[in-house]
Amino acid sequence: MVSFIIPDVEWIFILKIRAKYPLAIANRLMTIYGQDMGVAYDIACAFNTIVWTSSLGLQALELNLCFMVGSFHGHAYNRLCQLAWHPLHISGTSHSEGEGCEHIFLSSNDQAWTTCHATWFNRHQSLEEHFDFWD
Amino acid sequence: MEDAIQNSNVWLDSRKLLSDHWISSEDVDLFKDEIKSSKVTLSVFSTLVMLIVLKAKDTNVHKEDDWEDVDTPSSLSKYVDRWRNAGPEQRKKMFALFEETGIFLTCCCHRFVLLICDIIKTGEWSVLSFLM
Repeated sequence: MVSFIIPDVEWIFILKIRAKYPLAIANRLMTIYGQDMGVAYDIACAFNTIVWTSSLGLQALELNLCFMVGSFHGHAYNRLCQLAWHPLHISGTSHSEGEGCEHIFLSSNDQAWTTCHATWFNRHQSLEEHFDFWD
Repeated sequence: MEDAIQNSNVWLDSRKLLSDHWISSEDVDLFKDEIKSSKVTLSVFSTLVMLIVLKAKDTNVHKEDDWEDVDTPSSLSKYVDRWRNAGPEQRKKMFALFEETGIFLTCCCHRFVLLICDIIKTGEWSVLSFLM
């Protein structure tokens, strides 16, 4: 029974428009960190296909890039998808749940009050100060 | 009111950021037309990838549990339909006024911020909110 894990074609199309941001980030991460990297992403089950079929595919294969869906977002997916992409079933993930961004956005959301009417530089400076303090 | 705001001039600022956290929009746009393969190829390919990943994993996870397979067909679009964002819809429209609608952020497992890139408006906010 294969049909139930084929992603909907429409959704893939929408994803294609948006894929440039995570692709740019994946490219930079592979340049910096190199071998055996694990990346958790909300929609990694669809995004890994985008990576393998893109120009980064060969590089990702060489560097043994591994994708997973964060455990919080994993709840939105079916069991078969979870078996393939849940951090629980991927060795080497330890106790990380793959949802670090949610923790970060929880604190950085407060920045929106001051940054939404600021100029480009001031907005970025404010975010940078915030993340420096967070680190 | 929307027109009045959108037609306003951008405040030019020549100052640059020193941090190496940021990925410029030019670097992001290099991947704009990255995916050229057809929709069908992509969906077949993602099926194959999932089958390979499942095959490569320890098959005991399938045997040890007493879960039963459900026959209802489910695809990625079902997840999208089921997804609910915490924020109300009206607030998303308000964001359409801004050119930069958010940030795309990567962190390590210790919650350190690694890379950030700006999300530049294309008017498809509902798609974006799911991706975030």
